[in-house]
Amino acid sequence: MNDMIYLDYAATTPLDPRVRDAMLPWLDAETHFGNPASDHALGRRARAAVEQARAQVAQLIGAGADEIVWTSGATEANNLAIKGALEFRGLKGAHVVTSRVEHKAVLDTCRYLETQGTRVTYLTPQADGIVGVEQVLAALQPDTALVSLMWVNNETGAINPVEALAPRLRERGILFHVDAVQAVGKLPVDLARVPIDLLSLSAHKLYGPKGIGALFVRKRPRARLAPQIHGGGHEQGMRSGTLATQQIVGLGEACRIAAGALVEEGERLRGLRERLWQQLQALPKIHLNGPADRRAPGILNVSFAGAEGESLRAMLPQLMVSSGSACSSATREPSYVLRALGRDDELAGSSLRLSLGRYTSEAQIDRAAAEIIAAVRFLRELSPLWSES
Amino acid sequence: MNPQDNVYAYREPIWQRFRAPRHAGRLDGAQVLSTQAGSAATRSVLRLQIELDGERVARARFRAYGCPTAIAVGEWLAEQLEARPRAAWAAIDVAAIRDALEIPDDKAHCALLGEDVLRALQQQMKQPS
Amino acid sequence: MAVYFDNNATTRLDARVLEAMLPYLSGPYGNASSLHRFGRAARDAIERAREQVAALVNGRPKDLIWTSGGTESNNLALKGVCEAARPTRLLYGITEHPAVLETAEALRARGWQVETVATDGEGRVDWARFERQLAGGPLRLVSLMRANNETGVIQDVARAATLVHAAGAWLHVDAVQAAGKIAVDFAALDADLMSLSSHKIYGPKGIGALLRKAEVELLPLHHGGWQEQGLRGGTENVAAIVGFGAAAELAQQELEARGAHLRALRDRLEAGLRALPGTRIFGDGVERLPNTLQFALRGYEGEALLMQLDRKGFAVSSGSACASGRGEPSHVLLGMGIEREIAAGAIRVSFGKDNTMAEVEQFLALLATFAAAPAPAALRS
Repeated sequence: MNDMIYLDYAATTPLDPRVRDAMLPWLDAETHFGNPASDHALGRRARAAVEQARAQVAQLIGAGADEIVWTSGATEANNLAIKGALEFRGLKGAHVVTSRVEHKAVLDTCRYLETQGTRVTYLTPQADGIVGVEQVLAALQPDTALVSLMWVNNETGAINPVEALAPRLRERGILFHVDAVQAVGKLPVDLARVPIDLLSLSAHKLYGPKGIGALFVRKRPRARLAPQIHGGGHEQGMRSGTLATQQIVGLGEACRIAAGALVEEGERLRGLRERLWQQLQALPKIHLNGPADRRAPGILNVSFAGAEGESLRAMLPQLMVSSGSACSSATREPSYVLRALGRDDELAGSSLRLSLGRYTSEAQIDRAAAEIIAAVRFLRELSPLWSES
Repeated sequence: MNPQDNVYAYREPIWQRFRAPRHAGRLDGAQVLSTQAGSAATRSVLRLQIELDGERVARARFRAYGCPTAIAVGEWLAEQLEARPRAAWAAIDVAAIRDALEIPDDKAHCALLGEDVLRALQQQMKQPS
Repeated sequence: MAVYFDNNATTRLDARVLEAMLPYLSGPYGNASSLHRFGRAARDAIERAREQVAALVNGRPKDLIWTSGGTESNNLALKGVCEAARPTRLLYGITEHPAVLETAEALRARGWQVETVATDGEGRVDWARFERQLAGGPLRLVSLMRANNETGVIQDVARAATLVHAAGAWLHVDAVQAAGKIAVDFAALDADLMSLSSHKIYGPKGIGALLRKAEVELLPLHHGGWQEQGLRGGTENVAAIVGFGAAAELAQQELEARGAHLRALRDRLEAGLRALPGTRIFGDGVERLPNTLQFALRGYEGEALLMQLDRKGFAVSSGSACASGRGEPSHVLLGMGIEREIAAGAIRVSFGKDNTMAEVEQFLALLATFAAAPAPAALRS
């Protein structure tokens, strides 16, 4: 299995060995297992580690440590942000703006809210996958309470103009939630400068452990939330439950590492991605899904006309890739994101999302390109529909 | 072909035919009959061709656009048409195809595609040429 | 050398559990949602753990939903069951964990009539009042804990189940403290939902489970994703799930041995405490968890005593870790009708499998010095 090529970093990232090493004492050492809520030496030690991690996460996104609320992951963070904000304001009948290509956690939450009387506008992105500022502004209504938009789309890598949008929403007094799972640790995120109110992030997309995430909740001006998990009053009452010290320490360390090489790593991944895209040009009739420029450095989503997606994946055993988001691939439906971009079923179903990351090498890219090209040619040759013209 | 390569755990009869089809290709000529079933919109198209030598099928070939199961169905059908007398073709139906290739429930539609293309072929052979 | 007597707050991860988790903290393990071989390996590991955890409480694996811990399990049970129906009534025990109590109170704001189930002075359900309460109109759900986290008092939830079912409602049992310490049988207790937590049984923090009979209609707490039958979205925390599974299997295998050991420690502590003047033991004379003892020493304020013990290297608590540091007496003891001044002096000792008799003797010797000497001003209430 040494020759496996992992190109599914947007689905989940391997745990960085440095993160693992930071976590292990909190899983093992006799002096590190206390409950961070306990009022004795063991508890205080765990609490100090939790607070250090909080500062590390805050540092990466330009926030204050007291603006970070731990959650069990991005799904919970997205739920807490959207349901918590509307519930706190008692705005069940209010209006919400989001897009059709959000993560399932946002879409399903919005669908649930619709059953509770909330009105939701689902914007269709432009053909390149980006949701424009003017598009969002045009969708606002007098009682719009919240806009929820992802910073980077997980399938196409499209970067939404959330930095330009944030002040426009702030001046209208509309809360702005950003699902930044695919942006944090990959693009500069500076919440000291960008007036986003709520922002979700997840550890296992940035080489941290699974099962931990965070929600940024702005203090000034204060974004107020109704808790979605009640209990002992942890996390300023916004999210109860015993804090999983090892997970939190892992997320903190992952953020510290990401902050250290953000720009250089972005440049490296962009270079590898372009190398891959250039090599794939050997094939006719391939389509880039997503914008050419405003795209997260590690993501390349390509439709290969004439090569059905499931067969293509099966032809590439050495490649761990995803056709569409891993969360929806169990259903084997063509990606709803690509459908929303106007791709027909055939092209949406013939797509591969190649997502690069920290351990991707040039040699891996070259091999991946060669294998993809061979597989596409084989399947096209086999197809009764295929013609080059 | 490395059996380790079957990382998505396709059933062996499907996997073998998908990775190393022996009857993929196209036939031309006056003695060739061609049929097709499925559509691009459903992401499954199966094209079947046979070359007749009198009553006997000299060669059978398929082309397929679809998932590995659909491709394996094409290969298996071509094998059968070369091996079985025409009288035995009627027995080739969804159940027989699923049995032979161990096709799971969620891929039953691929077996149906196979039955459709075979029936179309039989229909064509009945018509006077 | 520190002595840890706060195992109801959290436990130290068992070395064998860590061993089981390590492969999932490194190497090419994938997203359990991925169809690739590694994704399936992760999925197989998750399903094996599901069997292990379900087996600990004699539940069915397919009835088990992973959560981020006991608090989320309790939230999912109460909100999930209640919000699947039109608001009627919801009952919960007066001594329940804050995760149940606060969730129930939040449901009040959503139109539910929320009532507490009273207990006697030892923390057991007041059955006569409970039966009258059950007859008081349409009822959706009753939530009772199998064993209390502070006093260790064990509740006869099987008896409650019969009554609750006769009243046409579902019973949720918070078994976070009981599982792994006493035999807990989801089927025999006839519970409809049951909350479990990993870090109370020498497993990792950040993972828990909710058992739910298939006929109980439940809405998800977190929307998004198809994981856990659509009831709990989010990428699975594979390493923690595997750890919980391993911890559950060990707890089941070692249940009797651990129980006997804990009981011996607890009985020695109890005997020693009774020899001190003015000791009050809560839940005295009723069936309690083998590892838990909550008590008060006359004339001592709990928080101050706790601090003193902490300085001497003993980690104990005044009650629930979640509620500590609030300066409020335990709601559990107040709920049982204990006077505020006495409740304010409460200390909870909760033993774990790795505690020793020598540690208990040290602790008793230290307490004796507190009780014998005139209490320092800081310790006097």
